[in-house]
Order: sequence, then structure tokens, then C-alpha cells
Amino acid sequence: MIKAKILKRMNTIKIILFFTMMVTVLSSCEDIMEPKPLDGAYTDDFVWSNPTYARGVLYSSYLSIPYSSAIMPGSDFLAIATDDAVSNNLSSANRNFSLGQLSSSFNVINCWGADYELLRNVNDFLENGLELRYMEDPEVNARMLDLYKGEALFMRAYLHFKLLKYYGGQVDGIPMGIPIVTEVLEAESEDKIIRPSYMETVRQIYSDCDSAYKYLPKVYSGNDQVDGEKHEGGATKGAAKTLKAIAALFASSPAYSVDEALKSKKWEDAVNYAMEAILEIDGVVSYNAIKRNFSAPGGEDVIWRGRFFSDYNLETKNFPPSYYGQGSTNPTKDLVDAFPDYFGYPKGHERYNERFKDPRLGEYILLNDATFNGVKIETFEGGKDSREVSQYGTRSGYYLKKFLAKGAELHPEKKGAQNTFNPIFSKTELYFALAEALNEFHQDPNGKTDGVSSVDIMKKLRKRAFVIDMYMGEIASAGYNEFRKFIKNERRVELCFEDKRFWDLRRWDEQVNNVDVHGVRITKESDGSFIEEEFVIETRKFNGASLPIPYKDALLLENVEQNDGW
Amino acid sequence: MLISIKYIFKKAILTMVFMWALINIKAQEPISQPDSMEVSYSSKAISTPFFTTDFNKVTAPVTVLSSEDLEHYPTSDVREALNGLIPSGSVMKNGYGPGESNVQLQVRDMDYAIIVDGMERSVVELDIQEIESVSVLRGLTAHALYGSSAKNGAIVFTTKRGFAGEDEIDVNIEYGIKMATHLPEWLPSDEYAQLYNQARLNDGMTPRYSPEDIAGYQSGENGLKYPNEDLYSELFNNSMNFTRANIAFKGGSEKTQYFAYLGYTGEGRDYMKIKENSYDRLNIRGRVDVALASNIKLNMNVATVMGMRNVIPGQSQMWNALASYAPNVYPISIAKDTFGINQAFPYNPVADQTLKGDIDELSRTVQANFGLDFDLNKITKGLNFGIKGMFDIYDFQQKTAKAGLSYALYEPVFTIQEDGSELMTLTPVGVDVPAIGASITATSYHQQVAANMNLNYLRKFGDHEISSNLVYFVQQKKMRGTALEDNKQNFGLATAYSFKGKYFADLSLSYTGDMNLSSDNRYKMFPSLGIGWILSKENFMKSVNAIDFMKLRASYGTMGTYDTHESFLFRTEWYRGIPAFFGSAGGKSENISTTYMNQYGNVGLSWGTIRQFDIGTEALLFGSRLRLQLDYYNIIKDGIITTAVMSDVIGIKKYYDNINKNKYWGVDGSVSWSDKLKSFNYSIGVNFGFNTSEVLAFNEVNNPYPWMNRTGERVGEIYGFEAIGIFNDANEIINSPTQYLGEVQVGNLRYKNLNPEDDDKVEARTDEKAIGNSTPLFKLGVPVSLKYKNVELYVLGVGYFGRDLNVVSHPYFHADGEQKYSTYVKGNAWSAGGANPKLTTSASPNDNVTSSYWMRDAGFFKIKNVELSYDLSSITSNWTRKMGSKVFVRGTNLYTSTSFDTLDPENPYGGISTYASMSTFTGGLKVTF
Repeated sequence: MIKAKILKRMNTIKIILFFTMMVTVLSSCEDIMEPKPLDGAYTDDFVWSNPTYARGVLYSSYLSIPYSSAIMPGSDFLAIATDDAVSNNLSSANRNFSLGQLSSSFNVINCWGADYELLRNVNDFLENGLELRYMEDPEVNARMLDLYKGEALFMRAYLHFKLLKYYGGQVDGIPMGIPIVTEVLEAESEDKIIRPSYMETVRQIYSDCDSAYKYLPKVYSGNDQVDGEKHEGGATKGAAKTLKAIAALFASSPAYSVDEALKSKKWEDAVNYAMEAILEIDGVVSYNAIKRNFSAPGGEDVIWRGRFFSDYNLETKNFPPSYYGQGSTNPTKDLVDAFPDYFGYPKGHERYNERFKDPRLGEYILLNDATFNGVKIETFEGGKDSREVSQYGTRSGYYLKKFLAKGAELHPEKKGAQNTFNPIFSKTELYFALAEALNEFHQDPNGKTDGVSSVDIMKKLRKRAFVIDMYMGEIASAGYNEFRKFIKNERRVELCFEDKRFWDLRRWDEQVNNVDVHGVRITKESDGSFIEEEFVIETRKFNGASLPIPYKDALLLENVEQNDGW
Repeated sequence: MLISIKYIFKKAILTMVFMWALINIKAQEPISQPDSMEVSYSSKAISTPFFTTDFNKVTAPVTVLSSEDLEHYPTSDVREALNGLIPSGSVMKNGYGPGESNVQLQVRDMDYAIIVDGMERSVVELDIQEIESVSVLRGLTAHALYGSSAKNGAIVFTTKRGFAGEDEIDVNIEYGIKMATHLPEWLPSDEYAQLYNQARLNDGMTPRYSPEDIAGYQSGENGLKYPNEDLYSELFNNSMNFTRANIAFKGGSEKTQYFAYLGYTGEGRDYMKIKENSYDRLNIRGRVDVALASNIKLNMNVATVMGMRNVIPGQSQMWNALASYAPNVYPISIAKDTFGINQAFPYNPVADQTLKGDIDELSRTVQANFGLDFDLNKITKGLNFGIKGMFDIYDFQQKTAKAGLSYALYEPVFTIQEDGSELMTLTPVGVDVPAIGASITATSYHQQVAANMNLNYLRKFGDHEISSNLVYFVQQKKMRGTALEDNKQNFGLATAYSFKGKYFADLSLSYTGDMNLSSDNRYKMFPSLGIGWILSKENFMKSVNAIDFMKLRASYGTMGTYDTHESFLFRTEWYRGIPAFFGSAGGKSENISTTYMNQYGNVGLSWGTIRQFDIGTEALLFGSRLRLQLDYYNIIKDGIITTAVMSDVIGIKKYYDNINKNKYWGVDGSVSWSDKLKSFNYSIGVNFGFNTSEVLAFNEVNNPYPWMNRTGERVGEIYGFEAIGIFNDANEIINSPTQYLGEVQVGNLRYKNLNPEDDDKVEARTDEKAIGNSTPLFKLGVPVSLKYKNVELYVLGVGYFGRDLNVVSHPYFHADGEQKYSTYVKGNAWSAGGANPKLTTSASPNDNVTSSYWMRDAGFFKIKNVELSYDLSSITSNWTRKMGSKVFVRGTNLYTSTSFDTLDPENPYGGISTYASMSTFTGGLKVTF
């Protein structure tokens, strides 16, 4: 009896034990609480031991390069924030950007966070990515590592330069740079972040360009695994030298060079670095009126570009409404007037002839009554491309033509696409930099360094446009200040819509606030002629010349002061 | 705000004084004789996640509901039936489509864990008749054992079981219709065209519609050229059916008890005109409790649900078209099976639903619980051991007929012929592609396994009673197609002590784990402590005749919270990005894949901590006529896991830390009065909640102006500009601060510059302040029951007050571009002197921002539920002694009082971009025998 009771109790205990074991086995405590790696997510260890992934950290930095020179979100040209163009989209944030809405918390072209993220990647790669083996063959592997190191250093210089171009600016009248980051920063290590002077930032860029130069190939050609043509678009020795030259041009420019004692030295550096770059690329300082072809990514003029692609994005965005486009970018009368006449005389010159225009005008800008793809453009009041008829109508009387595929059709089916790419550095720009630096350094357009003067360069640059340049001689002898104006205007015209003017105005310390931009109201007379009437379309408003440091960092970082005006 | 709090306190104090004055009034006869000598606030048992206890012992605020409380409400989603019955509870239904489960259920403005028979489960497909009880556990000492999953509180559903006694059969049959309410009105084509022309004029453009066009729309003769379509009425009937029928068997002996249930719920038939859009559900449940031996009990509870849906194709596109397409964009139908379209408005739902195949969805859920209870009295007196295994699978399949079908639609184009006559040509848009037949278009599967063991000890030593529960709970949840698991593990110990049944104290320890934290911080111990005192049992209270029962209680405790939807924040995670492309045009090229860091792991990330304090009372007064439960709570959530305020220069995209701190506090409870006048029984009650909150720390920088801070405001505050009217003329614009939000013209909204001493402009951030909150401050439920002889009327009113909605992008209140216009937009048109900013045919960024102008008071009071029933017990007594048979008619959403224009503030987009709100009317029969 007692035995039976004990047996029963034993059974109970056994059942309990059995179930306890079942549950323990099923759950196996700690294991189920240890999360498994998620699909598509990789750990630090995995990335830095797997060549494809490690390399990917470096190459993510190339993704920051906009696909075309229309760098604003939604592929608007930054020209719409200058006196060169207006947007026809009244409700677009890109438009509001230049009407006074820009602030530390509203900046449509803000790249601060994104580019520092990429800088972190580049630094991470430099610290962890160069110990991996990428190629089977040791010799090829060594060359590959050199390439990666060169590209990483170049991208570090480029990202610093881009951030400097965007956010560098005066604080209480003193030109300040942007925080330099050359190591991987720990989370919440704000106390390490300081804002160096403009020149200190530039020196960091020089140093990275110099280092990158040692490792980078001259060109990508042939079938080589490391520097074959398949890698075209990667950084080159020429790109590194050009970046240094452009950084030097910015550093010498009036907004960022206020110390009188250093001005001449800075311009001398700008001259020398531009010469070095040209020698690296062309072997000789001589610009032979290169044909610029904006649909040829491998074109002679290109020094460094973003990836090329072929689609209808820019055309859809910018064709006039009667060509089934949205007519977004409307060049201003101010830009149209900046073009000289057929013989090179600027508007206002006594010999200026309104009727024969610089051939580039028709190449870059669609004017009323111009023929495009066999049909006439009608921007006059009531015309098919006018504002009164279509919400995509122009607000200035003009449409953009530069960069657009001339023969493209959008309707009924899309055809005739061409290659589009972002010419970040072109030879034309580099020669403009040299011309500007020479004029400023010598304070004389005819002053020579290594046998080349500013006038020499400008003559050749103008050859692209003018069969007979009747104005060049006159301006060459008009003195250094007049020649500076001439260079600036020529640069504006030649490099329009190439993402230069917005930054040029700032480095030249020119007025950007309260600037009226103009358009024309065109009326068609009964005899078929047109009458143009100039009017103010809108007024550019910027509280400060530079872009503001983003809201959070401006308040959070004790050692980073906000730019003047914000 | 301040005034209302003061007001409430004043009222509360006055009420208390009044009550104390009443205490010396002569004793009243209790309205119903209590079953035992012991008077208790409620005889209902409270189901906590792991054990059942009685009302007197708990030291936390708890509400218990039974299936009788819920069954008045004709719905397929039990959560709707909880509306107005839980103090501080809010139930909002958005979208009333057949079988739609868009119900947001919160208590004290927080999400509570929904636990069904011991495990977190969905109740969306649970029938009300399957439910025995619902315990809403608001206080920490009641739900602490469940760990962090129930950190805010828990709503514990317990399904029915058999009993030892005479077998019982319950039959419920209910049938009715649901009818759409609060449908917005839109302008017909002619009025639309006129108003659109006005918008063009406002924009400085020429009118689009000529007088002939408008006359064409008015005459309606040439519907192909001048369409005037009402898509909504082409698609919807304004009513659908609703059916509920179920049968339950229960009974058993001392040794074996059983419960068997079969239920059908269906709705949606005849709702849509073209395709059937319906929902049918079959619920089957069986439960057996068997005594295997004198000291071992086994229970098995297996339920299965089959949900069948007929879904319409292109639902989201349909709602988009319904919410925005003007009546004249295209003729819906040109000829039989030839449908119209407009390239700018490229979706025709009538065509889509006519031509496309049916979509059938089938979901199957199986839930199984197996439990063993061991009476271990022989080892130690009062010891009990239970073990339970829970296993759920869910499987879903969608089948589409005529898969792969696409079709051409036709845009009518009118051209004038040489002879002056008009020719219509049809431009095809899209191409006809025949269907490939039926195919499976979506599937999903997940499973959830859990087990718990608990060791209970309950023993009385004279006046002392000690109970102790040791609990271990583990759960694993897997979904097909992802490595993401949701696993939990929790240990708990709850010890309760009581003395003379008057004084209570309990201590809970919860050792809870979350796999989202690093192994160093994964587990943490959280204690909570409660005390209770049944005042009415004291001798000195015996003389206070008005008080039959009164208990005071207080509890305080801590709990861990991982309050974010982000997973595994302690790990650094890299992902692959889009490839970088290199190469030459027409030559060789390469795509190099890229890698980016998505998340920088914070190994130091730890549990956020909830510190909760509850103090309250339960009382029965005046012969148990007045029942009241009142509570004050104060909850601090500290170290809430939030994105760190970190400099972008560091270059980390995503990094979380324990940063935010919120305080939630409020007063809630329920008060009811029941009495009887001869054959007339009545009861009126109020379940209420005043719930507010304050942000104590927020992941924000040191803002230059105090109004920019989230810290100090209520949680979830909406920030925006302060609108001060509309610009009436150009001078006003010039003389006002410049508004840097977008183009400003006469007719646009004018905002206040909040920092006039520092600048003369209105801009983002610095001029934005807290302007409203969509969380209701006051919640109210008013159940009223009147019974005369066999006839009973039950009415439930619910109210939510102190709640704002932002309607800036609500198509009924604000239309721009090519959007259709409502009667509201017309009635408030600026051009006709209305309050809205001027209409535009593009968009107005200046007006299109969140501002006080677009904030609407969305508080409301609704007669949510009514039941009129006739008790059949006198008739059924001939053949059964069981009580509870009745015939009834029921209704829901019968009346709404609100200032939210003509719309339903509970479902603000109803009939616009979600299914319209519905009133339900049913009739039925309940028989118990």
C-alpha cells in the first residue's frame, strides 16, 4: 500500500521531469535568444574579411557623384538658384531654395550627412581594407592595392573638397573650412570635431591629392585587370592634379582669401598647380579649341566624370511642353545677354550687333521662334509653349538646350536617347582656372608664367566660339580688372549649367542676395514679328553667402561655428 | 488645458465631500443579496497570464469583462466590442471593409499585450462567444510576471471551458445589414469645371473649360465628351450584410469537462456592385479537461479558424482614384467592355473590376494548448505544478483568377471635321494581353511555439495566507521567408501575503529577456510591490452604513521596455548598395558592388525602464447600488531607445541609445449606479479616463527657442505654424514677415512670426510650435441598461474628447492641383469669401504645411451600441430550466455628435480613401438549453 503510494508519487515526479526536459530541449534556453544574422545584413568581421564587400565600402563613395550636372533633387540644375535660370515649377522646393527659404534646416542640396558617411567609409577602408588579398597573383594584387589606396585617398580629397565648396565660408569675416576627418570616429565622439580654417582644409586636400597621385594610373586603357578601360571613370593622376588645382583656385578666391600678405602666394600656387595638372594631362600648356561633346563620356575634354547612362530623364524634365517635356529649366534674359555677338563683342559695346549672336547661344538655349526637331518654339504670349497655355510653359521666354539629346522624341514612343554624364572636371574648366589665376597672380592679363599669359589662354578658349574674334585684342589691353570681368563672363557663358556658377559667385564674393533675375515677355505682332519686353521674374535671396551648416550640427558641435548670415 | 485639470480636481473634491456626507445616512437594503457573507467588489475571477486570482487580492487596477458584456456588439472583430467598457480604453476603427481589422486598441494611450490562453495571439479572428472572460490588467503587479512583452499592461482573453453539471447548449443566430454613414459629397462635373476655372484664374492662367463645356456638363447629353461620373456609386452599394451564427456545447462531470464550439461569421455580400468583396469565417474550438489521476489534470484546447475573403483587384489604386479623380476625367464606360481612360488619370476601377479575375484569399489558423496540472499536496501542502505547451500556425494563400491579364482602355479624342461635324476617335491606352489562368499570387506562413511552467504554492496558516508563483515562459516565433525571429524568455516570481483577508501585500520579480539586446544586457530583473487594505472589514467601519465595501490599494514597480520596432541595435550591420558603374562608352565596363553601413551597433544599449505607480480604490456604496473604481497612475518611461543625437560628421547613419524619457499620468475608473423600482431594473455607468503625458527628455538639440522643444510637451504633439488668417491684399504681404515656405500671394495663408525680436520672417522649425495632439485627452464610455419585466434596453455611448486631426492633406478639406473638389472645398472657397486659402491648379507649398489652420477638433460622442431584447426564459422554461434565452435587435454607430464637419472623426478618410463607416442593424435569437 505504502509502496503503491510511493510508486504513484514517483510517477508524478517522472512525468514532471519528462516535461521539464521536453521544454528544456525544445527551448534550449540561451540559443533561441541569440539572434541569427539577418538576410542581407553583414557583420564587421564578414565585410573586412571578404574582398568583394571590403572593396564595396570604398566604391560606395563613387555613388555620391550625381549622374548629371543637374545635381539638385529631381534633376534640377543648380543654375536655377543663380542669375542664370529660373524653375518653372512654382511649388518646387528647389525653387524656394533660392527665394530665401534656405536655412540650416531647409537645404535641398544638403550633402553634409551623406558625404561624411562616405568619408567614414573611405577612412574605414583605408584602415581595414588594405590588408585583404584581392587578386590571386601577388604582383597584380600589389598593383590592385595601390589602385584602391589611390582611389580611396582621391575620394577622401574629393569629398573634403565637395564639403568645403558647400559649407566652407566666413565666420566673422574669417574664412573657415569644414571638419577634417581622416580616421574612423567613434560614436558620440563630438568633442573631437573641430572646424579648421579654410586653408587648413585645403592643405589636407592637397596632401591627399599628392598621396593619391603616387598610386593612381595615368589612364585606364587596354585589358589590364587593374587599370584597363573597364575602370574608366575611376580617379586618375590627372584627376588628382586637377582637384588640387581647383582647390587652389577656391583657396585663392576673394571670399576665402582675406589675408593680403598671402594673396599673391596663393594665386601663385593656383597657377602652378593648374600648370602641373595641364602638363600631366596634355604634356604641354596649349589649348587647341577642343570640341566639347556633352554626350561623349570618353571625349577629349573630359578629365574626370561620373558614370554615363542613357535615358530620357533630362529631356522629359526640360523639353518644352509641345515636345512633351516639363520645360523645367528656364534660362534668364541675364544669361542670354551675357553671350557676346557673333564677333565676340559683349552687349553694351558700341559695335555689338544684336542680330548676329554668338553661335553658342543657339547651342545652349532654345529661343522663341527657334526651330527644334523641325518645329518652331513658341514662347510668345498664347504660343503653344507659353505659360498661359501650359503649366509647363516657360517663365522666362527661354528653354534649356545644352545637355539635351537633340534628336530625342518622347511621344508617342521614346527614342533617340544619348549618353548623359556629369563632367565634374573638364579641360575647359582647368584652362579657365589657369587663365583666372594667371591674371590675378600677375595682376596683368599679359603677365607670363613659363611663357604663358592669361590672354594666351583666353584667346584659345574663345576660338571654340568665334571664327573671327574681333574683341579679344581690345580687351587684352584693357587692364587687369577689366580682364577679370571678361574672364568671369566668358566662364559664365561657356560653363553654363555645368554646376559652376552657383559656387563661382560665392568664391568671387559677388552679391547673391537681393539679385533680380529677368525674363522676357514676348508678344507676336500681326505681321509675324516679335516684341520683347524685359521684366523681373523673381529675386534671389540668400541670408548668407555660404550654405549654412545643418541645424543639428550647428547647435550640437561646440567647436563648430555657423557661417555668417545664418 | 490647465483650466480643465483644475476643473476636474475641483469636481473630484466636491464629489468626495458629498460622498462623505452621505456616509451617515441610514443603511439601505442591498439590491441583491450577496452569495456569501463575504462582500466583494466583483465576484469575477481575474485571469492573469499564468494564474487566476480573485478580485479582493489584487493590488493593481483591473477590469474584468465577460462574454455577456461583449455580445451586444455585432462585429466580426472582438476589439470593437471593448469600446467604452475599459477605463482609459480607446478603440478606434479606421475602415469598415468586409473583414477589415483596422482597429486601434489602446489603454491609457499605450499598446497592451493581447494574451489569449497564455500566449500573445491575435484576437482579430476570435468569436465573442468563444470568450469566457477578458481581464484588463492596468497595474504592474497584475501583469509583471509576463515580463517586458506586457510592459504597458495586458488584456488577457480566456476562452470558455466545460463545467461539471448538466450539459448546456447555446445557440446564437443573428442577421442584419451594415449601412454606410458619413459619406462625403463631391461636386458634379459642371460645378467642378467652374471651380477649376476659378483656380486657373487664381493662378493667372486662362480658364480651361469654355461656357460650352460647362453647358455640356450641365446638360449631360454627351456623356462621352462631357463625362459626369460618380465612380463611388458605380462601385459600391451602400450596404452589406452581416451574419453571425454559432453553437456551443458544454458540460461534463467531476472528472471530465468539455466545451465544443462552431461559429460562422460573414459580412460583405452585396456591398460592391461589380466584384464580390466578402469575408466569411469559420471558428471551431474544442476543449477537454480530464483528470488523469486524482492529482493530475490534463487540458487540451484546440481551435482552428478559416477565413475566406473575396478581394477586389487593385484596391489601393481604386482608393487613390476615388480620393482624387474629378468626375469629368473620363467616361467610365464607352460601350460594353470598352472602358474609358485619361492618360493623366490612368486607372479605371470599374474596368479593372469588370475585366480582371476574382481574387480569393484563404487563411487558416490553428491554435493548440496542452496543459498538465499536478497537485503536489503530497510533497508539500498547497503546492501545485503546471506545465503548458502552446503551438500556433498560420497559413495564408491568395489565388488570382485570370492572372497576367492586362487590357486596353480607350481615351476618347474629339476632332472637328471639315464639314464642321465632330468626330470621336478612341486612342487605345495599354494593350490586351490574355490571361494565363489562375495562379497563386501570395502566400505566407508563420508559426509560434511557447511553453510555460509554473509552480504555485498557496497555503493558509491561521490568519495568514501565503501564495507564491514561480513561472518560466519561453516563446519562439518564426516566419517563412525571413531569418527574423521573435523569441522571448521570462522568469517570474510572484509572492502574495494576506492577513485576516484584510491586509494584502505582494511582491513580483520578473527576470525578463529580449533578443534585441546584446548578451551582456539581455536579461534584467524588475521588481514590483503592491499593498491592499479592505477598509470595510475594519470594525470602526461597521458603523458607516453607506459603505458596504471599500478597498484601498497601491502598487509600484519597474519593468523593462524595448520600445522600438528596430531590431538588434547592438549589432553593426552592413548591407549591399547599388553597384558603382565604371567603363567607357561603347567599350568595356564593370559594375562594382558597393557596401554601406546601415546600422552602427551600440553594445551598451540596455533596457529602458518603466516605473509605474498606481493608487486606487474600489467601493460598493448604498447597498451596493453605487459601484466605483477610481485610480490615479503615474508612469515614467526612462531610457527609451531612440536615435542618438549625434553629429553627422561622425558619419554614422543609424545609432540608437537609451535617451528619451516620458511621463504618463492620469485618472481613470468606472462608476455605476444600479437600482430596482418594482419590476423596473436600471443601471447607468461611466467608464472614464483622463490621460495625459509629458516628455521629460527627448533626442533633440538645445533649440534656440522654447516652443521648438518636444521636452515639456505631451507625447506625440503635432508641430506646425500658427495661422493667423489669409492675405487679403498685396500690402498685407509686404507689411508682414516674409514667409519662407513657398510662393506667397494674396489668398494664401498667413502665419505668425514667433520670434519677431530676432527676425522678420516665418520659416521652418523656428516658427513651428505644438498645435495639437491626435491622442484623446478624455475617454468616456456610458453603458445604460433599462429592464422592465422581460424587456431590456441596453445603450452604450462612447466619447473621445480633446483630440485634434491634421487635415492638410485630407482631400475633403483641402484640394489642389487636379484633385476633385468636395462641397466643403466649394463652400469654403477663398474666391467666394470662404475661409480656405485660394485654390490653385498646381500646389501651394505655403499653404501645404501643417498649421493651426488645418487642425480640426476631432472629438466626438457616439451612440456606439444599442440592444433591445426580450427575455424568453418564461417561454423556454417549458422545456429547459436554463436561463438566458432572448430575442433581440441590435445596432451600432447610431448617432454621432462632432464638429468634424460631415465626416466620421473616428474614420476620417471613410468613403474617401478607405471603406466608409458603417452603422449595423441586426436581429437575432439566443437560445440556451
